[in-house]
Amino acid sequence: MKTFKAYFKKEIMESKRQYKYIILSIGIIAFAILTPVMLKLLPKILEQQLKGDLSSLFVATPKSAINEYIKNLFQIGTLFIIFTLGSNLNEEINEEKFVFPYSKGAVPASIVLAKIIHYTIVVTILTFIGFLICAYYGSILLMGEKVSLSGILNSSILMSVFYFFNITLVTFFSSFVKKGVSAGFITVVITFLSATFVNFNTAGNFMPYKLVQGANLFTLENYLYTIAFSIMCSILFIIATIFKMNKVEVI
Amino acid sequence: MLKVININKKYGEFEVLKNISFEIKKGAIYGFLGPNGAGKTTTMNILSGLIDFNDGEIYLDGEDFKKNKRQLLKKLGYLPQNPVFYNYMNANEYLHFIGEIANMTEKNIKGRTEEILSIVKLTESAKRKIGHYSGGMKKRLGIAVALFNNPEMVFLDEPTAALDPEGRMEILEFIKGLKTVGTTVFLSTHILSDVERVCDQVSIIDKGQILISDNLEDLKNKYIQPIFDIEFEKHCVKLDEILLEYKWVDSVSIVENKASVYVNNLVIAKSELLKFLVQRENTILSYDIRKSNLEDIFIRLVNKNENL
Repeated sequence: MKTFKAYFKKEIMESKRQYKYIILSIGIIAFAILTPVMLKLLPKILEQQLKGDLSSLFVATPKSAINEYIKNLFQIGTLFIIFTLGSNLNEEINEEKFVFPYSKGAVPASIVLAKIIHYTIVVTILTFIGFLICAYYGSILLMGEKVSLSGILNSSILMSVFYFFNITLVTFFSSFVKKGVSAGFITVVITFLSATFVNFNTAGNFMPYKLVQGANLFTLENYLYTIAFSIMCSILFIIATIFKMNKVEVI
Repeated sequence: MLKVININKKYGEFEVLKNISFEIKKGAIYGFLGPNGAGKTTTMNILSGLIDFNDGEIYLDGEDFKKNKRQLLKKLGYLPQNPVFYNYMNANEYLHFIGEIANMTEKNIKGRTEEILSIVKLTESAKRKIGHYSGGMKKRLGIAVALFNNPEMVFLDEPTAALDPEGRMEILEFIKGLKTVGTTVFLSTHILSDVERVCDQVSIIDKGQILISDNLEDLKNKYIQPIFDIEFEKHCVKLDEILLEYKWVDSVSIVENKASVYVNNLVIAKSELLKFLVQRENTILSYDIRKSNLEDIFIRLVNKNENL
């Protein structure tokens, strides 16, 4: 518990001083503001360029703004999260930063848990804030079908579980891949591959990308298996990471 | 305090440590010598719980190190050769972080931080980011971290390397001071004069094997050189010619009133040389058997091991 507390505080300090919070906020919240604005402005910009009525080509409603935001979260937000956390463990292993803490009796399991829980909390909070901001701006700027607050919360939960899966996966790879970029790249490949397998009949239900699909529909119904499976996989990744960190030679 | 029995460490097929054994008494300053790549750092990394070993046993205060590692680590401090910190923290923050891991109370952490930073002379830089520290300052902060939770035993890997002469003297005095408070010190270095200055016990390791392990004074006596240095009141005249008639004398070197006699049989020379010299009219001012310094012993042992 002492190691967990010390590392949790250390992660907060590190994220502040190395601007990780700002990077994650840009990746998650910036699109929450930009997406409704772009949906509002894009038809007008194109209209001037192409000189015609393009309003029928764009569905610009508060609901479509959130759908567009989810698309951006999956395509770009995921990259921000994965590559920010790609060096979660390997950088400290390679640079021998664990030597003093390990020599003072630091518990590897607590280090892994502190890092994963800290970033899961941060990303979850940012995701909820992002959805609320997007819904707010969408309702101000756009007309048409709106999404209920419970629907927005459902989407936030599904995207947060999806990000939790990605955080544990990238942390797992960063425990044995030397470079943060490599750990991030492997995680990105797996994440985007899971999107291609999602249409398979049975296996598709267990793909984490299914959570993104669910987020687009604003409902948790029919997605409980996917949530449970993703959380189970994440727990397995955490256990594997702890196992690896118990074996790793930090010097 | 620490007992190491037949420790073996392999990386693949390469045997880094070959059944090394030694014992360190409580409160001793133990010098661990060896050329580069001999296995010094590997031994320290094993003893400080950072890496595993393949075979053997380690006991700290009679407790099995492998079985009670996490608990026993609280009794140990370790200064690696190149200490690495979180550079965005300052010394106060890093020591607080280490104190929390070592399960110290908030009050203890605060008091000990002030105390240890004053000992290593970093009080004025306590709020500067560690990333802006010089190499010497990082080394001193490393010592502060190693000693932060008042460990019973501390492992210091090349603590004086890369330090200026003044910094080196300060660290050596500090190590000597640890003995007075009862801290056992395991000092790994290749600077032999440092070992001679502070250590009680010495082990020499080469190619993963302990070549010798002994008390420093006993070691010097054991490795006495077969040379007698004699100083006379007057100039030595024809002394070399007379001495060379004895079978147990190899050579004699004379400079004015000083003579060095190199013998091939120390036992006979010890009993016969003085008897012969006192019979002569030239008064003896001093008579010494030349002792080896640690460097001589080190070179002799390592070279002998090279030739095996």
